[in-house]
Amino acid sequence: MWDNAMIERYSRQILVREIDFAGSERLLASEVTVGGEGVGPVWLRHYLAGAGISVIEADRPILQVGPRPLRVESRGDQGFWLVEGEGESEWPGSPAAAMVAGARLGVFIIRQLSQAEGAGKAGWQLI
Amino acid sequence: MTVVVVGAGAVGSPAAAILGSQPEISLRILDPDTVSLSNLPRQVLYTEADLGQNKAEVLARSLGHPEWAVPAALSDANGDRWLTGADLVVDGTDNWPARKTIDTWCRRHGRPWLFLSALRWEAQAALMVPDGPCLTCLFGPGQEGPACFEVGVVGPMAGWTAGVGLELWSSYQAGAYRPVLWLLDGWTNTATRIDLTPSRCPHVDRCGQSPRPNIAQVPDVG
Repeated sequence: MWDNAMIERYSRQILVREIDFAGSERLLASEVTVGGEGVGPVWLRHYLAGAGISVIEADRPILQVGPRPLRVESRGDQGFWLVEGEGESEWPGSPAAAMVAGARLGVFIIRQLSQAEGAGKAGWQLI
Repeated sequence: MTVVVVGAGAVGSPAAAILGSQPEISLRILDPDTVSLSNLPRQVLYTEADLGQNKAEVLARSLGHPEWAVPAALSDANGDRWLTGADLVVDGTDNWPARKTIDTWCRRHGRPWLFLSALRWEAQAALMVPDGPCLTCLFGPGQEGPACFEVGVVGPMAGWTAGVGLELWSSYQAGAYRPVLWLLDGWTNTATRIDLTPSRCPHVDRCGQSPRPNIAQVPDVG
């Protein structure tokens, strides 16, 4: 699957030791559903697709990683949490805070999906 | 209000997108580079259709303001030309000399700037203010670390640090800012805040005057 253009395109994440070729292949085989408008979900979609993940849009602000339903909960000044379970996500209101949430969630999902099953995965709760 | 974004890459482009959507802000976006294939995973506002085109021009056009583009590199020689009038300078660069140029110019002219960097699973953000510590106070002289083409970078680390930086800028505008350095770690999913002490920086002169003396440089008068 790795021709020269693919290697060039994904070279910066392949160089990250914990991702490498194997992690990049896991990302390219993954699927995430991100619904909703606004800065948070838009940047999350950008970053997941950038990493090679197949991103599916939904008409409601839901989030689903593979078969796993997740939800972003705003906690006022405490920022935002990612929790397991069905429901609509609430993204932070200010554009900068929503970008933080979308990008941070992107890092977290890329970490989870790039790691081998049972190897170095954190739980799904994000603070 | 004028914000100068130096570098339209992984950090500068999301910062420009957020700032440029605020009607009271006009931008000046500097970048001499063109879009390449390896940029696309983390410089997510660019597409394959933009390959080979100047980043500042593509970004400014996509924000609806082609006149914001400056397809040039910032240097000590052209700092006055491109930074004059800036209410904020955003560091979207990837190298130490460019950051030193921004730091020196901003301290001389009493303007704040956002220090931002991302590499591997790590990122840093600080709003550098004229009466806070300078880049050399924080990191010492000549801190050139590894580059993303050497050790890689996880794309959204750049957006995370850009967003944190813009939140610092908001708190500064609201008059509630004290200098801090944020250390972001995407592998452990942690954000660590380091409070910085206001300091008498001896490194950079202001307004063409001599560097402020530190205690070791004050001659004996006695």
